[in-house]
Amino acid sequence: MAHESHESSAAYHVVINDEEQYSIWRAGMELPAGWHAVGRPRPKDECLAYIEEQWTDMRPASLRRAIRDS
Amino acid sequence: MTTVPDGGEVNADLLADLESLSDEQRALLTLELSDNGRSDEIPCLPSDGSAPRASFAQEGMWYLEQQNPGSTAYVMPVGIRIRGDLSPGALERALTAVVDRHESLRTTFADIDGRPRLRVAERAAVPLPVTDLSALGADAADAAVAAAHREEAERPFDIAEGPLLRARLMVLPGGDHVLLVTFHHLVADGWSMGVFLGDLAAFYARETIPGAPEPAPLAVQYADHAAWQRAALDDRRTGGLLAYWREQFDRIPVLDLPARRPGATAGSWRGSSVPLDFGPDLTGLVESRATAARATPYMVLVAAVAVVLARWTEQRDLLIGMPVAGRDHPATEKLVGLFVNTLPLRLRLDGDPTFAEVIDRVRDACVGALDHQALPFGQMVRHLRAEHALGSGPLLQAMVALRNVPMPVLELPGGLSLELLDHPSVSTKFDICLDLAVDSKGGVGGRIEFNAELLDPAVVAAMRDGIQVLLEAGAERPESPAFDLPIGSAGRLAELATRWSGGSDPEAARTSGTLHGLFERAVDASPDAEALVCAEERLTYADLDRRANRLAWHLRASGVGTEDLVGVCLPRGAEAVVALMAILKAGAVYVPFDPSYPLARLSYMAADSGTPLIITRSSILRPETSEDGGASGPRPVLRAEDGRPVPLLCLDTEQELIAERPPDRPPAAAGEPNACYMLYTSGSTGMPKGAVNEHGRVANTLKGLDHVYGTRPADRMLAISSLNYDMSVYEIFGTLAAGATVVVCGQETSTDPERLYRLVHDERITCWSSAPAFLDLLVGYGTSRPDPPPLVLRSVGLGGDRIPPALPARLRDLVPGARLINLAGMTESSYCTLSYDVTMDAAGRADTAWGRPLPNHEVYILDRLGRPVPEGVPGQLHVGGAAPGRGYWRRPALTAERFVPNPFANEPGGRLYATGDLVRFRSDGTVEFLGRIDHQMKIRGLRIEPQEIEFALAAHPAVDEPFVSVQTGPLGRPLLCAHLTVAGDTAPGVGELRAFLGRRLPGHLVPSAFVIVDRLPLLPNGKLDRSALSLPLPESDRSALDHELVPPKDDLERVLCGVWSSVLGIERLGVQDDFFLLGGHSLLATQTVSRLRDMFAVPLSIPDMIGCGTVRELAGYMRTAGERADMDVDVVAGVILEVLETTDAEAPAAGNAAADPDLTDDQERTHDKAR
Repeated sequence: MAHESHESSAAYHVVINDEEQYSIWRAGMELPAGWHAVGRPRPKDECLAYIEEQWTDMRPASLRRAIRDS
Repeated sequence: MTTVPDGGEVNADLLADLESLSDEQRALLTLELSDNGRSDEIPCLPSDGSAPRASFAQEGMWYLEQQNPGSTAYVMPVGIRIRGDLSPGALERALTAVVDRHESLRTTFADIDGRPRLRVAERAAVPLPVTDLSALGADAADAAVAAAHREEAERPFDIAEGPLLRARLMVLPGGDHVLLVTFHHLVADGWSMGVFLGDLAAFYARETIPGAPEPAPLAVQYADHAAWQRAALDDRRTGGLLAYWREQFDRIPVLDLPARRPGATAGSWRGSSVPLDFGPDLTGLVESRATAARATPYMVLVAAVAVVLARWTEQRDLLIGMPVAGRDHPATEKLVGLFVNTLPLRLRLDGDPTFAEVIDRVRDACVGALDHQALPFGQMVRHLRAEHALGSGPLLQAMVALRNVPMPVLELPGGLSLELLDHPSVSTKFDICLDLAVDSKGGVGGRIEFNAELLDPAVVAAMRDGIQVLLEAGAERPESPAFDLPIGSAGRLAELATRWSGGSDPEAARTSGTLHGLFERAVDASPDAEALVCAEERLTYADLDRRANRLAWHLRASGVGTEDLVGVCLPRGAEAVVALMAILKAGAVYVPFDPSYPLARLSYMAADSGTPLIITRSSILRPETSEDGGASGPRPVLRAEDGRPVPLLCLDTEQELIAERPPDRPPAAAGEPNACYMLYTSGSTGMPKGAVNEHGRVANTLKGLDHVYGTRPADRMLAISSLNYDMSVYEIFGTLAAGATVVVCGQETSTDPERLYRLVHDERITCWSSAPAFLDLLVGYGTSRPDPPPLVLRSVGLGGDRIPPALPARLRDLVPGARLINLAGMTESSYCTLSYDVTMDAAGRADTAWGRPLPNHEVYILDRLGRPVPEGVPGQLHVGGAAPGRGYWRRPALTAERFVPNPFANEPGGRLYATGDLVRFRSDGTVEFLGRIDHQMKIRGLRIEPQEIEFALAAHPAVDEPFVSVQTGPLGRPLLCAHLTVAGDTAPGVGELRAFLGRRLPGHLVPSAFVIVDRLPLLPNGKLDRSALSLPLPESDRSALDHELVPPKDDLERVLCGVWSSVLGIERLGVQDDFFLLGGHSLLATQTVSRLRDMFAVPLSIPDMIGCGTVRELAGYMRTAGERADMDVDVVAGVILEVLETTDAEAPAAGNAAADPDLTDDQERTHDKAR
């Protein structure tokens, strides 16, 4: 389909927000507020593989803290 | 080379030179040659008094006129402003002289044996009536001129009588004049206007200035050219040209511009326009790009228009018209007459071309078209239509015209000047037409004319801006992918994105409450109000609260804690609602395990979710073993796929334990940020995935929807949706938050139209929420009865699927006051995001847009680079604000890919859920759904990832390569269809495949049809050619069935065949054909059962019917059922057929008996006879 991204070779950043939620963001575009890049840009598949490994507890950080403190 | 002038001397050296040129060089040379025109002479026709034949173009237009007598489609008024001291008398004489000069202007059209012939009058005086507007104010005078212009445009000509030219003069305040000349297009074209104006000026000068020169006499006239052109186009030449055009028109696309509302069509020609002005700077850029690309500025312009059309239509195969003067012979340049020709340019923009490549493709198309322009457009279309290479629909919907020379302002001695006035057209023959000219400042300007019935002016204006921005970017970065180039200024698009997002309060997700908290508030407000009705059971708010509290305590005692995923494997009913509420009260997350799913699927879900406990009944899940399952003692277990024993909490066996738990609320264990439910949805990786949602976000949705529905405590909502399907979330928790009553619809009632209707009526249901198929069932039943008991439905929400076009009008007929609301949202993002009040036009055509977001849900439409798109451009829907849920359970990479940073957020770190839906904004911000950007499909509201089914099918040893798609079945119903190739020598039987999948997948994921093919069709690029896969309809191709058609052998089988063929919409079927294979599904099965119950009055249930599968088996079953009810169904069948034959002697074969709508009524009378 015409709308699918054609640039499977494009580089992405692994990004993370203060809730420690992960996502990806196309390299070279301004990072939205509240998101921080982790490491260097790399192919999308590598970013996703990294996230699959790192993001083990998908609950927002504030919720994890609240549960821990209660 | 066909472009070498006819009859010209061609020397061998020149030919050799031509051969050595590259394609591009040859193309450019071709262009130059065609500009230079032909060199042979046009002979004059003998003046023997015979009426010459009309030209091809005139013939085509004449035929159209015969079909629409009095049409004004080809009336062309032209205003000429004359400044200075005018002599009206001299102008009238000059006008007559121009008419004397051009035979065209004295021509009328005679019908001789059904063909037009030209009658040229010797002389034709042109009267010039004068209207004096000098006493008016300037504005009033301008208005009067515009009105006269419109009036002329709407006044038809008599083309047989003539004259085909008329004129009038208006005197303006201050002494200037406007000459309004109106032509019929049969005798003049755009180029002719310049000729006319020049000749008029020359003759006026001769009238007023002594010694002024007279224009040189014309060598040939229009009819001479027509005859010459006809002679040159013999059959051989026509055949050669046609071969080229036939190829160009192969499977032509219909331009799919964003209609301003559904049903708006190109049928009307009401036109409008927006102005367009490319300044000299941009024009300069375009010219240099053209030079660099060895193309013309026109080609660069067409390239930009093509990319813009492709972005707005999402089509990659376009047809754009290029007008050419059609005056390639120099002798025609000084003639007034119809010469203009249109050349269709077929532009294929597939393969993600760069802008430079698009220009190349446009150039190739232009060169090819110019090479073959000798066959006029009308002729081309006539020939191709005659050989059925073309349909009858509109051919050209887009046109780009660029005049290379500005219209002259004619200065005359005596201070007089003539200038063409620019009047926007009021009619258009195209959906969209760029009418541009080089202006005197070195820029390009003009307007975009468009079909005002079809297109919104704001959308056309956005397209205009898109062309401009794209030209700027494309001229500078020609090597960029054309579809990555911007089509709007970044500033405007960002502003648009913010304006239409709907905005949100960042606190909403943290302050909207919890699902059970909203319920408890309603309990405290009116404990005695009716909360829940299910069959005979009726619970007040206080009852429901107490029951849920006891179970919640019991869950806590069983070790269930905050955020634990607790399974619920119960049929829809009061017990299920209590269970859901109890899980939430215990702080846990509910996960529906549909009892109708195969065990393999349930044990997969148990393993994937890691659920510590499943709430069920002992009769539903057959436990494998009995083990110690938790803190409250020994429990049976379900063996999860990973081997883990999952304890089952059976509500029946633990009834007494639960009853002993306290009735008051357990301490709060979950707040807004906690998860509330997880729903499994079809997964594209072959396995279903769980989508987790949070309390505060879903509560925000429920409040928004309560507002949309206007739900009040007096309302009664039917809970009909499956618990796996998130419409049930609103039906239950939204209704309870509003203090209203939930009426639970049992499984069988939901698919039996008769019982469903009775329930909605008896329970005085006011609010409805479902996939469209269920409402269709209800409305279909109601409208087919002569006098249906009235319903009190007030707010009807539909979601999950497209609303069938006729459904809104049928609902209105059945329940005139009901409001129909289209709901759209995603399981991943708090159920519902958009709502739209369905409207209907006078013809009953419904507008079923997705509408605008609920409070605190933000919507963005982004292109593949994540940029906001202008109005009308398809893009992917992204939802933000309080909408996005937590993500996919234990799927971090998938979650990271679909839940992306929100660059527009008012809250740092916010996320957008990328829905995969292709949508666009209307000019008022209304969202319209277009389709999916991936292969996800929906059938009856249920999400289907074809890959999941393919994955399951591929596990069958005899299946090599499966491909699953939705095809259109009989009666236009969508049908899930599997095409597959076979691994070994023997093809698996259809029944075997269905049974194989039935053990692994939920029923709605099992295809209705299986088609075995030798190999799957591929496109040249190696991708699957989806368009080449279709569903062989059983009546025309029985290859999908594994046996021959077996005709009915007795009356009962004949009647049953008739009912089936009517329900399924298939003419011929055999008694051993499978109901599902013929396109049947569970809803159609219920319709069949309903009719058979009416006809035979035998007890027959839907599972009975589904279990039977074929007519023969069903007949056997009905005989047994009839015996038990002391009735002979064979006798009833005989009577039915007898009644049919007497009521309609012309009745078709008895096999179609039930197609007769009166059958059901007749049947009422036959029951007694049969007993």
